[in-house]
Amino acid sequence: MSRDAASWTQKRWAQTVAPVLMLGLFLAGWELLVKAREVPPYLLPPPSLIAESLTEHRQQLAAAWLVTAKTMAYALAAAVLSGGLAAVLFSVSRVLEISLFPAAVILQVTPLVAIAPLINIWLGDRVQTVLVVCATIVAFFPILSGTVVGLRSSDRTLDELMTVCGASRKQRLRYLLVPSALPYFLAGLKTAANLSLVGAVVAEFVVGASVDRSGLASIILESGFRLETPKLFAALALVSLTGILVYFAVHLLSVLLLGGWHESAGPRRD
Amino acid sequence: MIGPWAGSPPLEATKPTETEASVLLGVPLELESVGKTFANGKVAVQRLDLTVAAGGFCSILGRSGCGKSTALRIVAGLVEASEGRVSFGEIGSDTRPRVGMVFQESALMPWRRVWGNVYLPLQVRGVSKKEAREQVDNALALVGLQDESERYPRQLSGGMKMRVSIARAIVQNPSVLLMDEPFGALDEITRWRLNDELLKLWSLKGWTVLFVTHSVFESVYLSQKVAVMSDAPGCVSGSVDVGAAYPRGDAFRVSSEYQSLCSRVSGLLRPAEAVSYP
Repeated sequence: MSRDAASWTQKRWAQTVAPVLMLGLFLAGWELLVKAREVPPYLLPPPSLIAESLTEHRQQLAAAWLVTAKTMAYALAAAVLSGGLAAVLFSVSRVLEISLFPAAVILQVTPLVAIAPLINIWLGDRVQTVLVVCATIVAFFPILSGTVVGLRSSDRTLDELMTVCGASRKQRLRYLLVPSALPYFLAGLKTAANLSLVGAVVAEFVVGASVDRSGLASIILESGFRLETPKLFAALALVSLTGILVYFAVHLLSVLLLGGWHESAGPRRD
Repeated sequence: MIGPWAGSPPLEATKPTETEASVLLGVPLELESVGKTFANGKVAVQRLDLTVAAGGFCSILGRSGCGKSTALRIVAGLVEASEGRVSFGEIGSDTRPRVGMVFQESALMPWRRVWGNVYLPLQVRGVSKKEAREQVDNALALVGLQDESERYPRQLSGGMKMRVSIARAIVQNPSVLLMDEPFGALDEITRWRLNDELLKLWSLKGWTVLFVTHSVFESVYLSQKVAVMSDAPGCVSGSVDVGAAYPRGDAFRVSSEYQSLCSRVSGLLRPAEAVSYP
């Protein structure tokens, strides 16, 4: 038992410390290499300069981060609602599924960059809405397809059990289908969360948000034009950090919801 | 219609402890020339006749694929019979009695704890958690799992899962208990123990039990009547009455009566021309 506990703490230690150590080594090597070879900062700034730029422009960057994060959050919420609802409707009506699923696929396979200008024309004067709609389109599909598969993969014997118990359709959905679909939904959510960030950034690029409403992507673009590479890296780091944060948030959510009963949330089997 | 085998189960062995609804006798069960042809043209069951008295324990024995599970599903209302009718005594064919069913696999919801799994049938009927508390706890106590109510199915052994499944089937005091090869996947020792536990509960509660199995020994040990089904399309090709008194125990398992009943049942199961050595 104590040996198990020891190896567990060891594993835990390795899990948190190893990646941090790796990152530290990487940044140090980067710093040293750039300094030693005297690489000009507009080509590749050292991490220290990026950090400096991060503090120098913190107000502008924070405002931009808020714009991007808001777009992402709204888009993800919209995708969860619309994707989940569509999946439930599809599971209720086969006709609906057959007739609407192709539309969802078309929306998915058409690149966002190609659709964005159209959305910009339709909703052009509301920049935030355009961004959210674009990001929603990208994040919608993983939720839909995950939940559709999940709703269909409920155990057949449990379905018979519901019949023997005399369950109504609503009860079947609530007590059997939704819990069975949950792991699949969460797997879709994991993808959708990251895609909503990608969608938000790409949409900003394409739509070219105006200066007062500019998100991280516009800072990246602008810094690129002006060869302010440290600032570009600073914005880029914020984008990555946001992605990582969202990933862990969704991971935490699935552990909370599935912990105890589902294999995917349990301890890893080596 | 009550056969000579339908002696009422002795109730003196274990005294009911609950004050209300302790002796809830089952309803009689009758299948009259029931047939089932599936959409693909396969005839699973044909002209199946079977009578079980109120509170009787009957096993359906047959080989894999003979249609015994289909017969059980027809009684459960999961499959609609193409011919014939199923009736439950005076209740009539349109009102169904309360049916509890135990499936081949324990079929528990992995996301619910033991308590929540047993609560499900009551929840579907709109009973609140608070009102159901006593009933669920009682059912768990009957199968000896009162201390495991907070565990998840994946933390239980096969035998324990099956006990939860039984608790779930009996929590709503069914009139008819249907069991579809419930102990087929368990090891022999666990199986025997669960057999004895099942008989104890049955003599306490008096449900009408229809028990599908492919084990000759199990069917003879448990039931008052063993109905043997022919190969598909299945019908009852013969039946053997087991007169031995309950509670049955190891003494019955080694008795010559048990041996001869088992060989009689085996004889019915085996087609006449099957054994021929060159």
